[in-house]
Amino acid sequence: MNARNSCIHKAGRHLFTALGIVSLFLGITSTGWLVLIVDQWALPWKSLAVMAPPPAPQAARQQTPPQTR
Amino acid sequence: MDQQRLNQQLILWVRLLLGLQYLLGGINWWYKILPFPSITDPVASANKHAVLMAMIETGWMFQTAKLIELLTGLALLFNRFIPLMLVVSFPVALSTFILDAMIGPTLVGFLGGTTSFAVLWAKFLDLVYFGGCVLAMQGFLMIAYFDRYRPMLVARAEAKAP
Repeated sequence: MNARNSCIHKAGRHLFTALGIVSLFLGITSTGWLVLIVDQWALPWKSLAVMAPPPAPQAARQQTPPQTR
Repeated sequence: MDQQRLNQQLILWVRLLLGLQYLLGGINWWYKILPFPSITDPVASANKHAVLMAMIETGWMFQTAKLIELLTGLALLFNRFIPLMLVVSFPVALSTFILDAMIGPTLVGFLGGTTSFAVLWAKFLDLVYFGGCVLAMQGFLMIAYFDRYRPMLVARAEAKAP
């Protein structure tokens, strides 16, 4: 029983580390991006266009709304 | 580095990154520094989701969410009341994720051939890099502080009159 608990505990710790590494990677890239576009000091706001779907042909003539989150 | 020390380092850095992200998001509502909706933006220009517009139009709902983001950012950066603020801000993080995660119609459109891959990819990046990222960091920290929540998880709690 103890061996089984220890195994579960170990797996949980590994999963926690894995989630931490994924979170750290996403955090660095996402927060880093946000910091770089603050007041457009290092990157222009239009760098977010990679996440904005290209406008549909009929909608392209209208004004494009700003990115939101 | 042993695993426990690695985990402690991960907790520290994820806490600071999430704190910074919340702080920037919160500040941006009152002082525009990012291309996201701010208090100075006209409501009509705000949006990819009608939900967001409706929240802004209430005049208090979006402001409250932004105030919570600001306070959570400060709490995470200065290591004060973190377990409490993680719970308080969880509905905001979850709602943001759900708003970003509404890619079902786009996915159906892509599978049906009416939506391009570029549109699907843009939605996916938005989902991962904003809503998904915050939820992952928040979830990681809530697991890290789980011992603080354990006393709350009782089925029948006794109330104690003052």
